[in-house]
Amino acid sequence: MKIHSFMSPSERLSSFSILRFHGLNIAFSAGILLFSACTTNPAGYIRTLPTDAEVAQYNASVEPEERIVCRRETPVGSNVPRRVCRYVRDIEDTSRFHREQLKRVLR
Amino acid sequence: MQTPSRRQSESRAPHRNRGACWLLLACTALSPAALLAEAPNHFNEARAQELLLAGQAALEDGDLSLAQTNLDQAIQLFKINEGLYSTEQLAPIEQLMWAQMRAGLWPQLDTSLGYYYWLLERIESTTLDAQLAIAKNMRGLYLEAAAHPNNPMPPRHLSAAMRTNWQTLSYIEATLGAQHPALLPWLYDGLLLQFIESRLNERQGLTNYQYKTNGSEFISGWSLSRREAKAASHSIGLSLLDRIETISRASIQAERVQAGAQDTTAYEAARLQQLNAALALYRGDWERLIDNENGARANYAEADRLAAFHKVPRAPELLPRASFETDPEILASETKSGETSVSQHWAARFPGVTQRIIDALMGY
Repeated sequence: MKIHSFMSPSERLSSFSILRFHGLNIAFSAGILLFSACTTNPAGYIRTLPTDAEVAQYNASVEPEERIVCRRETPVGSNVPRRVCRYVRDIEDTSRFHREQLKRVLR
Repeated sequence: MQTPSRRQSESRAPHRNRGACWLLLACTALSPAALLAEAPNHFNEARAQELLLAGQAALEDGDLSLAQTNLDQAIQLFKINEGLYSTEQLAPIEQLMWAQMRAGLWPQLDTSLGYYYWLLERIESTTLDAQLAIAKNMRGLYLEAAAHPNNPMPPRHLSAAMRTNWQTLSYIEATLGAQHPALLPWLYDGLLLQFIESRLNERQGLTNYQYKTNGSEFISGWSLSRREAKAASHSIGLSLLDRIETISRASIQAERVQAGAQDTTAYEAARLQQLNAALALYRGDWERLIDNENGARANYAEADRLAAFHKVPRAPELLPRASFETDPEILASETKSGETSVSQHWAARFPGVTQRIIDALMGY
């Protein structure tokens, strides 16, 4: 994992040498594991989602945009809240897309 | 025929000779040995060490300016004497960062942090103990920075302290395995950090910081609400206790296997019973800290199945306990020892966090 000059100290912390030897692999594997846990299987039901502790530990090892945010959301058409986990980069992409759509509509 | 200038020089000759004599006398008096003894050898190895010690002493005395000067010089000397990527630089940089942090020099601290991590990246030969010591020192630095009254972004530093703890857990898992007892103190420290985070969350306007302040820019619009952040913090604490339970159980069972004797079964059962009671006590504490009295009572009742746990104090002001213990005698005495420091609050922005908890995290 490389340290970049533009990274803040806390981000540089993510590149801390204690994780260097396996850091990226651990983070990558953990990301896949965490996210495979988020997906639905062919039978249609949701598998166990990562715990808050697992998410926090994973988030400590990756760049900010690779981090995961889990929260409870109530989907449209339902009153039952469910836990949803997303990558920060996906959230930001979606937000950007929606902002642009809104701008286009309001233009 | 002599030129005017030649005549002038001849007339000055006796004066010049006298001057030369004085110079000779002066040189004899100040022998080369004496000059050498007085002129400091700036590249002397011992001098770098002296500067480091002087810097440390100044830091302890609270003379932050002198500490920075000495430590800065020590770093430069180590760089020259030992090499650009020398491990000798680590100690003075660590001390310098403490001095800069205490002086509230945040941009300078950021620069030193940058150099420190850059250097760590390049130092290959290191041991597990050395890495854990580095992690503990950095966690302590970030914690103290978070409490600094002039810190413009305390949540960023608290977040960095927590991240250091998580990274250390990942590191120990990768090095020693996910069930190694070396994880236990770091897991419990993680719980203490969650508690500190929850206290900061209590302050209005500081919710969601974990996600907002991780990078150089504030990110908003997708972070957790205060209620969600509190729930996440509580659930992380419970998960950490679950992991402590798993590892402690595995450790007790592994000890029996290693002993290889059958008569250890009763001893193992007693230890497991004690572990169950201790964990119930800690889970009760964790519930009490979020004012869930029903949950706390249920867990305490579980702990009290073992008579020895009746006398372990559980008043809210004594919680969370400084460390994880399973022996009820030690638990009782250590918790009671905290009674004297109940009023010693750590920092104004962390209501309810006593110095006792910070001392435990700092390893005092």
